This record gives sequence, C-alpha cells and structure tokens, in this order.
Amino acid sequence: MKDNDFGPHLEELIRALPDVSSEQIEEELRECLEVFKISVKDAKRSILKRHGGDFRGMPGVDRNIVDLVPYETVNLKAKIISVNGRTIERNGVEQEMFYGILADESGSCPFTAWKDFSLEKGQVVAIESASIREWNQEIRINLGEMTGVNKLDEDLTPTFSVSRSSKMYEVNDLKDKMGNVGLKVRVLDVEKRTVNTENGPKEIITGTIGDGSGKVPFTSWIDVDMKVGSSYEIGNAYVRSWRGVPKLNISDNTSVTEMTEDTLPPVEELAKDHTEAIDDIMEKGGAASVAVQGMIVDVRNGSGLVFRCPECSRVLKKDMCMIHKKVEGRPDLRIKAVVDDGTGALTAIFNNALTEKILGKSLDDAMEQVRESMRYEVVHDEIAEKVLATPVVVHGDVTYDEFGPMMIVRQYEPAEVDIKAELETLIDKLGGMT
Amino acid sequence: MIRREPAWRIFSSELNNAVPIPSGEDEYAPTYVISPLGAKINRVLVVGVITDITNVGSDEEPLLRATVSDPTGPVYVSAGQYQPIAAQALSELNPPEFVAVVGKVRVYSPEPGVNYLSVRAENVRPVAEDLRDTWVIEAAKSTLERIEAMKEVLNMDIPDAEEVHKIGFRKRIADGVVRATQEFGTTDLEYYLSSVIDAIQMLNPDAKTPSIDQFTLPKGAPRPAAAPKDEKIDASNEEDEELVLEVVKGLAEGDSIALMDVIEACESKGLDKVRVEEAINALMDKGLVYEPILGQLSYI
Repeated sequence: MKDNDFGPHLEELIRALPDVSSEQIEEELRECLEVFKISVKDAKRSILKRHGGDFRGMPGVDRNIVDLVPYETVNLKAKIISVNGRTIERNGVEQEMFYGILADESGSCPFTAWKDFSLEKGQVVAIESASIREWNQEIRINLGEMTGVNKLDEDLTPTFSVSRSSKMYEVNDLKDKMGNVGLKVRVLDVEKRTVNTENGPKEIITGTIGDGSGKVPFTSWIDVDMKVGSSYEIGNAYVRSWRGVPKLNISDNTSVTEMTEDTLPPVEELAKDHTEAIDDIMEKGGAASVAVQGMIVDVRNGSGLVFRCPECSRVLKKDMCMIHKKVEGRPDLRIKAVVDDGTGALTAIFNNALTEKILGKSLDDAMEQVRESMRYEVVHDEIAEKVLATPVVVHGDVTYDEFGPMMIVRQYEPAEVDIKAELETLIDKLGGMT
Repeated sequence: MIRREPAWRIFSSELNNAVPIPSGEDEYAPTYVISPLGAKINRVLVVGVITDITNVGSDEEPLLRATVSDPTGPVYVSAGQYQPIAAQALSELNPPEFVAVVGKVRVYSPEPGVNYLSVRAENVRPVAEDLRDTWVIEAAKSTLERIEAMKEVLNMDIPDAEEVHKIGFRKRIADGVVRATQEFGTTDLEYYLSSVIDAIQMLNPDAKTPSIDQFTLPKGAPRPAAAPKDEKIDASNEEDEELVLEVVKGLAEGDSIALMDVIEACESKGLDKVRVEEAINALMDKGLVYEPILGQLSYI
C-alpha cells in the first residue's frame, strides 16, 4: 500500500487520538498494514484500542460520495434516491432495517440504516458520522446508533454512479457465480409470484430483462418497482445458473434505479431471441432464451411414439418404469434431434405438440399407424424422413450438463437463407480482405 | 462430458488435403484430421452433387462408395454394413442429384505422407438445390474465417493460439490454425481464396469478385509439405489405375470378371483393397471399365 492510500485513515486516526503524535500513529499504521498486512479496518481498531480511543463516535470527515473509501467515518450531504424497509431477525429479536440509495452531486451509493431515521425518498439530508463499509467489493454507507441525520430544506441534483464499484456487464456475458454485477437493461416481462420457503410463503418478483446483447430471466427477492418497458440500472446483482442457464438475482444489496433516458432498443426488439453459435453457448456453459440456426443431422433413438410412466413421466423401457416398475404407459410423441450449426451440435427436444405439427398428424393417428404396421419404429422413420437434412431455427433455453448441450424447443421454424444477400455479404467481405 | 463433434462445412479442396493427427492414449477418443487452414475435423457435412455410386462389396455385405462433388472438387463417401441406414439411403439415390451427407472422416495411409480421405456416412438425404447453395455459402464463410485467422498466425513470429483468440477468433479456430502451421509449415492461402472465389462464381457467374492478385497475403516460404504430396497422390493413382486395368483386361478376356477376383489379383501384386477400389472408381469415371452387372467388371 502506498503512503497516499491510507491518507484519509491516517487523518482520521490523528483526529481521534489528539494526545498521540501524528508520526507515531503513521508509524503504527504503516506497520500494521505493510508488515503485518492486516486489513485497514482491523488496523484502525487496534491502534485506537491501544491508545484508549474509541472507533465509534469518531467525528466524521466531510466527503463527497464519489470519494468514499472503506472504513472511514464521514459526514455527507445527500439526497435519498430510494428507501425500502424490511424486518430482520437478529439474535432472536425482530428488528427493522432500511436500505436504499443515497446520491449527491458527485455520485451515488447504496446505504443501510440499522434504525429508523424516518428517511423519505426525495429528501435531502445532512448525515454525520456514518461509517463506510465494503461488502462484495461494493462500498456501502452504514447509518447506525452513532449516526445523526438532519433533514435539510434544500434540493440537489444527484449524479448516478449507482454501481460504481459493480463491474458493468452485457447480458450476454453473464455466467454462473458472478457477483457484484452491474447492468443497464429494459424490463421485458415481470410477474409477482409467491414461493414457499423455509420461513413460509414469500412474495418474489420474476421476469425477463434484456439489453442489445441478449436477455436473461431474473428473480428479485426484494420488493422492487420494475415496470415492463422501463429501463433500469442495476448494481451489485449476482448470477446463479441452473444447468448452465443463467439467472440474475436481485437481493437486499442490489440497487435498482430507473433510468430517465437510455439508448436501449424497444421491448419488441429486445424480446426477440438472439441467434447464437452453439460453440459460443457451450463456451458460456449454457444460455437462456436463444435461437440456434443449424441443420438437423440426426434423429436419435427414443424419438417417435413413446410411453411414459403415469406417476413420474419417465419414458418406459419394455413397459417398465425405472422407478415404478410395471405400469400402464401414457402415450406421447417427441423428437430428439441433433441440430448442428458447424460450430457445435446440440440435442433439441420437440414435445408432443411440436412433433404433431412436424408430422402433420395427431398422437391418435400415430398410434393407429403403429397398430396397422405393428412397428413402433414407423413413427421414428417418418420423422427422420421429414426432418433429416432440413435447416431449422430452434428457440429455447440451452442447458449444458454431462450429457452435452440440450434445448427443450419452445418454438421452431424452417431456416430461411437469403442466398442473394448472403452472397453480397461474402463478396463485400472478400473485397475487404484485398 | 459428452460433446458431439460438430459437422464441419468445408470445401473438398481443403478437406482432401487434411492429414491425420495422432489420437491420444484413450482408444475411445475421437480421431481427427487437420486441414491446411486449421480445421480440426472429426465429422463433416457435405452438400453437393452425387455423381456415382458403386457397390465394391458383395450382395451379402454391401460396401457402397460414392462421389459427391462440391464446386471445388470431389469427396469420396462410403457406407457399409455397419452404416445400414446410410447404406440404404445411398442405394436409393439416382445420380446425379443433390445430396447432404453427414459422416466421419476416415483416412487411409498406404505409406507415410500419402493420405486418402473419405467420409463414412452416418446419414444421407437427397436435398433441394437451394440447400446446396446455402451450404456453399456456409463453407465459404467458414473458409474465409480460417484464412483470416491463418493470416494472423503467419504474421506472428511465434504462433500463439491465445493471441489469435484475443484478436476475436473462437478458441477452436485459434487452436486449429496454430496446429496447422506445425503440421504444414506455411499454407498456400491463395489456393483456398481461389476456391472461395470459384464457389461464389458458381453460385453467381456475374458476381463481381476481386481477382486473386488483388490480395496481399503473408509471404512465407512456398508450402513445402503439401505441393509435392499432391503430385505423389496423382502419380501413384495413375500407376494403380494402370495396374488394375491390366489385371481386368488380362482376366476378363473380352468378357466380365468378378470384382472380388480383380481385388484379389491386384492384392497379390502388392496393391491393397482400398487402393484397388480407388483405382476402379477412377477407371469407371474415365469410362475405361464398367460394371455390366453388379459385382462384375468389364473393360471397354
């Protein structure tokens, strides 16, 4: 750590310990940080303790939000951009806490208030002795017992740097286990749902958000006001994937700020599935709501007329279910096709409805056909006849597990290639290479 | 992790110059060939015109061999008793017609440096002409991508796949082009650029494509490995053909002779079965021998 890096902390200690020489404090701080390499927070606490000082109640130093560094005690003048409350349980006691975003003319930052300061959205306040903490590589302003909040009768023009410590990503770059994610997105659809958790039913918000690069489902574990068509800057969200399909999670620590203006495409455009190369999808480990354009190069065994267990829907083998043994099977049509785009191959599963559409016949017709021919394979063969070597566009989520990439097809259409236009592009490309 | 090998869309001009790369310890690991432009291939999709189909096996154990031509040349396709679906589909075709063939690349190397490539078909379907056109465009795009990646590599002092990937090429392309430079030394980019231009001209004879001398391509030593190899294949092919023709003429004595006998006789003269079959196919293409009935050969 360089000298100037602990400048504010040194000043703060010198202020808090007026009886100790500044050279000695600097020496001790340097030792803690450079020789013992303990954290700034622990170093300050230990130095204060050694000299009988108290970390809490230390007079704050005046700061602009953009200049905040962790483990300082500061005074701020800021506007409350958003505030939400929730009840948490701490050591068996229910306690109210508040969180939201504070902004001044230099920037903005999320905050947590551990008691009720009667904060109101839009209010400008003078804050004294707030402590700055770092969590998940993001800076937060903590308002606690020692903090004073005074409402001011004035206004200021806030600057938004909502997630200034969140790394900004494009939706298409999201991968499993990413934390502290920042995004600028438009809401494509949104729905309130109730899920059952260990602590009883909980209301969550789910939906889809997108930017020019792609779209991704999200779950908000907190009550946020997100409207379809509106755009938001999201800070400190995190990504969890299920079999490679990423999902953005919005939690207590996430900031969601509506953007007043944006350059994002409209909902109708963002809602379209992006066509992606299979190799790129595998590189990411999976994808949500994409389109893949390729050719059906194989129709795998298990396509055609199958019988499923009435209990668990597993496909029966020789009238037997893996789990429920001998059962009366429920007939179903499906296609397991291999779609190959030259960069990779995935298994595309077409359900009963799509298979009926492709075959041009119903499940009952297919059953009748099997009865007449006395061969189950007759349906498989007809499917192969119809779809092999056909170019298609399939839409859906791509999961990626030990069985390779797979898509449960939500929608498909024949791939239409404008050969004239493609030729023009090729010739342009060649021209560019001269 | 199961990962199905993708089917490369690649012109025969590039595919037929590919060489096998040693497979790893694992006997179940897929085998690959590497093309001069760095396509590391296990499986291909060929869409072109099927010009002939021959049964070089027997009625009981058919082994079908076919030639599928794309705008840059022929690809040899085979299907035997272990590819019953493909063999069945092949036998139902009436050349010439447009087909799509998906299959795995097999290499026969009778001696070091000589590689005969063929595609063992997994699936074969007749298709419409516009699908062939689409395929040509896909193959052309994919060739251009590799040419551009190869240009980057040839301009590097030390070929580095990571650097090529950073420029914006997919990992497997970057790895492939670097691997190809190890295998082939420099690559004749002009030859493959001409293939792309030929293919475009085939789709649209009026297309205003730049001529080949308008490109500035990285200058390296002229390809040392591949050029003489091509000649060698041709020379040995012709020798094979002469030998086979002699055998047919000698045995048939104005009538016809069983295919199996020809193969046996040639084998005794030091030519193995695959090369005999290649030679017979070539002789049939040239119209010097023909099959009056299946499994019998006669000469003109």
